[in-house]
Amino acid sequence: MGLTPFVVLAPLRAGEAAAARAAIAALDEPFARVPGTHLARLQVLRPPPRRFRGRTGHYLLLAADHDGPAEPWLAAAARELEPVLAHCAFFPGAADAAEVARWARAREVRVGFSVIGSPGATVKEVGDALALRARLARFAAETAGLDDAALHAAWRAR
Amino acid sequence: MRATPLTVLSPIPWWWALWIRLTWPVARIGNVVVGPLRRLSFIHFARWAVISRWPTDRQTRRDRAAPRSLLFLTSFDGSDIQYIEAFVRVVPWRINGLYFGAKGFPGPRRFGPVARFIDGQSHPVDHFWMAYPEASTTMVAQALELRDAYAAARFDDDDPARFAAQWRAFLTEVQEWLSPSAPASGAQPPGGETPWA
Repeated sequence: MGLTPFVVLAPLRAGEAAAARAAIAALDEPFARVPGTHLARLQVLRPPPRRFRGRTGHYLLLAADHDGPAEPWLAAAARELEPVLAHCAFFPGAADAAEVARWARAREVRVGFSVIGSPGATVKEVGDALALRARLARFAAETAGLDDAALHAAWRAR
Repeated sequence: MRATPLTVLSPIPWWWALWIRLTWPVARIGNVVVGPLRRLSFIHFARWAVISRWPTDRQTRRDRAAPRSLLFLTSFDGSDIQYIEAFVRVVPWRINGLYFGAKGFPGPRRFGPVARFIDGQSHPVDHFWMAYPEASTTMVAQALELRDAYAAARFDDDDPARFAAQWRAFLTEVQEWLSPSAPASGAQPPGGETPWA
């Protein structure tokens, strides 16, 4: 299963940028409850206007890197983020996963080029590897200087 | 939290969007472009995308005031000043290949103008979350290397002398991946303890 980027740029309903920001500020840790999320960001942004073209609208940027596939991730993310996504134009509500996927796909920004620090590792693999590293480091520190028999006993007692 | 998120939105003319779209497939081949960036070893993720139309949904009325843009999303260890400084120092021509045509880009060689360019086009991230917030990019890479070395290691569990020799040889082999610091408790996997073997 590959690491998948997902970037959605959804226009906010007119006049709801501040409410969307407030809804984001009221979130606790929604992405912790969306399995497979490596990292994610949410922000309200407004592109700079071109000259003599008036004012630009406000957009919600949702960007994440997760362990694929996209649809289950999207459905779970939409449930957690519904108070924010509700400010986006034409958001169909989080109840219907197929509708959410259709809505998000239509507003998806295709990533063209990427640099990834640890490609290929899932969230669980990274977490497990970090935990193993912590335990091995602790064991090595605690058993430094022990003779063979004591080291062996400590290993068996771990 | 160790990682810093950065979102940069740079207006680009149509011809630069075309150049980017043509060169990205080439840049993805091999390791010439990605390799030096990855070796900077503080980038968790860096993503670039061209936004040709605002909003991207063609069923929705076009936001004619919004310019064609290059979107840069990244998260990295350390401060944005260190990040930009490393880009300018280590990979200037790659930055040029991405931003030469961007409006107002001052060229990749001098830190100050590049920092001002990025600062002027960055947008505050309202919410950022990471599954392993206390782990730097280097720690993650080391932990994955260590995991593979541990999986390949063989320890004689019945003979104390042989076990001790094997353990010390293993420690010598993996020493660089165990130091300098162990990850904090926030790096524990959500499933709880991982078996040792």
